[in-house]
Amino acid sequence: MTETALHRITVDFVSCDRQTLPDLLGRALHAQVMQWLQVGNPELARQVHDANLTPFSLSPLRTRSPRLRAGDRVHLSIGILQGELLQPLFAGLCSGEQQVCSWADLTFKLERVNAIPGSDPRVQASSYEALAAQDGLGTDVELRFHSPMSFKQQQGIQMFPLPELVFDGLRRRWNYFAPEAVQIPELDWSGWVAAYDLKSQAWKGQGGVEIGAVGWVRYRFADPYIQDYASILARFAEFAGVGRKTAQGFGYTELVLKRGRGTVGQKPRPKLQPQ
Amino acid sequence: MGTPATDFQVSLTVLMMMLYSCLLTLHDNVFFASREMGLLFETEKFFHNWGLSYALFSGRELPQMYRLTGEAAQRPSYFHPTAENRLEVLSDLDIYVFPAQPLQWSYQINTFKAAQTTYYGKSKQFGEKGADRNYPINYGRAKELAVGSRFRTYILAPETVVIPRWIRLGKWAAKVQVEVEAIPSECQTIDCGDYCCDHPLNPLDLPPETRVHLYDRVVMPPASLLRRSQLSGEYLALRGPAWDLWRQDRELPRTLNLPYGSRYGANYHGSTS
Repeated sequence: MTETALHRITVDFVSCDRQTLPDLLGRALHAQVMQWLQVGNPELARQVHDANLTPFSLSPLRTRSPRLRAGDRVHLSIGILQGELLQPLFAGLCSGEQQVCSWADLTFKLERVNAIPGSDPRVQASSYEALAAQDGLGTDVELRFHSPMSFKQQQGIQMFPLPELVFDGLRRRWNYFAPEAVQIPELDWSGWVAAYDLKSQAWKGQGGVEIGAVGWVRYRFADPYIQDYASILARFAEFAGVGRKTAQGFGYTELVLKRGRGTVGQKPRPKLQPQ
Repeated sequence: MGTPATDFQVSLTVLMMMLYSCLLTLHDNVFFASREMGLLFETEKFFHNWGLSYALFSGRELPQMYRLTGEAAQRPSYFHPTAENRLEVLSDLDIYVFPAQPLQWSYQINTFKAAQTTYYGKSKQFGEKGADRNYPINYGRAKELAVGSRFRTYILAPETVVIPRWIRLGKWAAKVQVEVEAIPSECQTIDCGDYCCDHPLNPLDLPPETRVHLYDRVVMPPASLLRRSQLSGEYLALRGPAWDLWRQDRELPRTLNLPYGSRYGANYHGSTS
């Protein structure tokens, strides 16, 4: 089988009752994933808990409307940055039939777990080597932030996704988890924001209010050397998320591949297939 | 796909086993309570192989049990050591039914209101003293697989087995037509290695030597199914010119890999209810 360290799986839930989704469920979802890991491999769960950088990222719960009726679907995407997390996570996810999940007085039933690319448009699988070997995206790299994204800068919170904040943050996470052979050197991200459509968004939760930017940003890099690394990290962003608290649903990111921007931008992603 | 180990290939005719392709067509709405969410009871669009096995073989290979009273009443007895109709009976007869995959399906939501079983009890109305809910508890909505839905399953069995043309399935004992065709043995080979299986599988029935790498999971009772799985081990491969010729006009996949050696409860270690 193909060795894959990077996965983005989706977990589908069904609402058990008439209920309204709050903005912030990040802590509860994080705890739920940690619980699944704990069931699958307690030692690994402890290591993940104690690690400086969390080897997974979460999306917010996606649904048509936050006002749910019994039977309505909600979807969670989990980005996995270490291949060894996958089997324990699956073991935890599959530990009980009719698994009922309760977060913040909301009740859901687990319906489906999708891990094979093609099962769901958001499901992906790749490896650090495969991402590093893919063709560049060209001068422009466009990222769409689906959930509030922000960065810690000195003592404050920076909401605007400046190129060095986005790509250097991704580079640090990449180097932490990627094998030695595909490490990315320290770079001067001498690019600029070519276009954007962003707005600030505040998510209220029990711990206070979290602010961040949602929307899309197009980065332009003139240096071909930087372009190549930016392309790798932009693809990595779909697994890792961008900015702070990506393991709590913030900074959920999608790479936008547009038609008419050269053939390299339309190259299909590598699909997980056995040898 | 996995590299075929040609020296390992065995013709199934030697084993006197047949692989049957079964097309199931619903002539009634089929309802299973795969998920219960408040008043909504939902049917998953896959047929579990254990339920299908009872529907196909009860009364002939599996004894028909009637247990209206007693401790075992209304309890599933898939692997209960003393149950006469436990699924190992089929394994001993070399019969194995795979879960059924939907080919074409639609749903119908029906509202039901059941009669009170406590004949002298008075149904509590909304807001009435003693009513702990704001709706009658014998009321609900059933999301059922609608008439005309079609499913595909495969059965590994000796050639002497009799597969019924009609079965009853689900909570409402819905009528389902079964169209069976034996897949010619020249289409089938047994290979060993890595392979992908698009057909739903029951992980509790997989051979112990089979390793499951990656899969989609369909959560449903009594045991969740795997779908689009990537596995390694011994498998039954259907591909090549003979298969291409035979599968024409039959809505069958271009290649089909099924784990070889599946037995009921091969990986079963606990209670499933």
